[in-house]
Amino acid sequence: MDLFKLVEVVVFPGLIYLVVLAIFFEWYKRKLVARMQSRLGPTYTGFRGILQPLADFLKLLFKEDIEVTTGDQKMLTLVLLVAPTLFIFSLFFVPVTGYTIFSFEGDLLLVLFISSIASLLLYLVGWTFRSSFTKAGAARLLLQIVGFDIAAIALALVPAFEAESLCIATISEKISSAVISNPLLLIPHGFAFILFLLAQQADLEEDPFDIPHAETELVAGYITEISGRKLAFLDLFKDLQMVYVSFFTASLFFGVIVKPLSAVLVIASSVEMFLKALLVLFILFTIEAASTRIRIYNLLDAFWKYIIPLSFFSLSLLFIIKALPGVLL
Amino acid sequence: MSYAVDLLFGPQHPALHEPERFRFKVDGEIIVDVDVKIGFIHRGIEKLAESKNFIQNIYLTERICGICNVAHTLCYVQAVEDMAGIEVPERAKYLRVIVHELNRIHSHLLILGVAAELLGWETEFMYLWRDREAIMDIIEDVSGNRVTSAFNTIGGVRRDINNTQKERMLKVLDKVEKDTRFHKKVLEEDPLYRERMVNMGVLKTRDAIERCAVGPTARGSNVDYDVRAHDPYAAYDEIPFNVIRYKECDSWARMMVRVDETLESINIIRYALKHLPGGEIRVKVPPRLPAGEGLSRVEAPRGELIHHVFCQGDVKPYRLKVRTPTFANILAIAPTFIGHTIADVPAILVSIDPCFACTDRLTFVDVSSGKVMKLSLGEIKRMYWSR
Repeated sequence: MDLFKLVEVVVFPGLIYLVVLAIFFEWYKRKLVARMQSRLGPTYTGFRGILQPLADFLKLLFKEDIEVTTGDQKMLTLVLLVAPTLFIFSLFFVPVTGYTIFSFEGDLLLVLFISSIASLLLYLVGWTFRSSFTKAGAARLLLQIVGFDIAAIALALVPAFEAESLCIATISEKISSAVISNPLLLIPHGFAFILFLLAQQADLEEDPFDIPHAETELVAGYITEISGRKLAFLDLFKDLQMVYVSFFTASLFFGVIVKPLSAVLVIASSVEMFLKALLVLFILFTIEAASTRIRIYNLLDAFWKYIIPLSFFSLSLLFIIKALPGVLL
Repeated sequence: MSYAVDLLFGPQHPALHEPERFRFKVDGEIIVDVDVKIGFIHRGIEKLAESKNFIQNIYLTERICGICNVAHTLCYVQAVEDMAGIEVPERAKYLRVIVHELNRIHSHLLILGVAAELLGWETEFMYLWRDREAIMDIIEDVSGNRVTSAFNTIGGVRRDINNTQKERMLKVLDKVEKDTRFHKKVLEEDPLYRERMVNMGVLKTRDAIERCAVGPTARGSNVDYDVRAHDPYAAYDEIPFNVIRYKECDSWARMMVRVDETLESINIIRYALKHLPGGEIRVKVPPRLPAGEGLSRVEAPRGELIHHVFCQGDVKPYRLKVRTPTFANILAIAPTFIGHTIADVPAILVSIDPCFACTDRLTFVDVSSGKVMKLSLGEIKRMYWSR
């Protein structure tokens, strides 16, 4: 491993860049949702409150770390250290700047696997305590993961089959030409995109799927007993999840215009990817601002009765469209 | 075999804006039993009223409930007027109706917003409360204060409304009506809101009557019961208005009653402003009132409110008894939690517009014999606090 790779992993487009993005996206979320709700959102810290999430993070780091005696603190610390790392690791395979740090044929499956593991780790956060609120929240989270994860995996395979690759970087390069060469593919593609957004919304636990930490029912759900530094890292985890979701969705479903062939083009393509991620988040936050929280039974109904069958339907539609010319000729 | 566990809502919980305890026995997510425990925010206002004179008590009763303060002062002064046989001028009666209805609009918009917030719909909450601000501004314009208006007094009202204020008020009411119609459309049609509210906490008409539900809770269960219409006070016998009822009997119906009543209140205020009679706004009342008792019923935003005043020919009441609507509604609604999920608790609870601080009373009852006891503070300390 040479020095250049190390810089890539640690600084750009690796760890530091991703954390900066996470903090920026948190601000974007707060400001955007606030404006939609005719509020101001953060205003004090930095330009239009842009440093507010960073200030919150630092403030939480300085707070007293309250250890709940009925909780398994070692497990909790381990989970909160491992979970953000998992997202950063899986983002190495996603073309955040238009190119990826690591890439191999089949990394799509690895990334899907890692993100599922990361969501499951959150379940352990709730399960380490003996409070009825965290227990109920953790149980809800598990049910929710069972709901959206299968749909998300099935839907992520749609662009993979369109581009005929299981490598995220290759998919994001080839997807636009694949769809343009066969415009019929737009039907399963658009279908899959909408359903995939819903599954990602459930992954992010935003309205209408903020069921595991529904504050008016379960106080804060699985997060209830966490405070101080641990809460800071949990927030960072959720923000990194936002980065992962937006870039992963953007690279799977939107084609690329600028190819990162030289240093200047890398900047151009990272701006392009960034704008696409903002677009994905804009859609997600609009849904979050416009909807009521649903019940866990409604979520399971929605996913198992409609979204999972529809995602398999869009996969089969894709196969039919792809196989059609061969059958006809 | 049941695996039911206790899930405590309260005394401190984000879904409760005041401390009160609900113990739900839950099997998974399903509620199998509920135990309501009130009494965490008892303030002893009825006792305090006995040591203050009649005028001071107006400001005390106003603080029983900040949100429906006008209903409380109106009810109290009417009870005192009933006791002393005081005739209120016509203009004062109309002015009382105007401020009472303004208070109702603000209370209804408030709870509609809170309901949206409890269901995780912050946007609708923000919009409703933003639109409610216009009403708060006219309440301030009329009475001099946003919340505790101190508008009613024994024998009339404390402030008059001039033509400029009337113009301003009509202009704001047009805007509020437009906003409320928009919110009515949103709350009627939004599929997720309906999913959460329709068929939640069904209180059948028969049960509502049996359990003495009052106010929007009763009218949401299709009970034709509104004190304004059936026992008119102030100027309500001269003002035409409809009693809003919904047949659905669920949380959604109870919220929609409030939306429609807001529109109805706007019409009442418009009518009252148009037909506002001239003359005095209050009559002079001596501080010492004759012995007797007085009762008054008022349709507060949350339902029927009763004030009962006794006097023994003094400057102070001998006894003031208040019966607030939440006390009737909380008992009516409690059994309807059973069979629903934890997620539905806020949706059902908010639909009665609970106000626990008004509700809490204290009585010592010996559970084994059913005997009601009177205990002094020293005795209570000795029996319960020394442990």
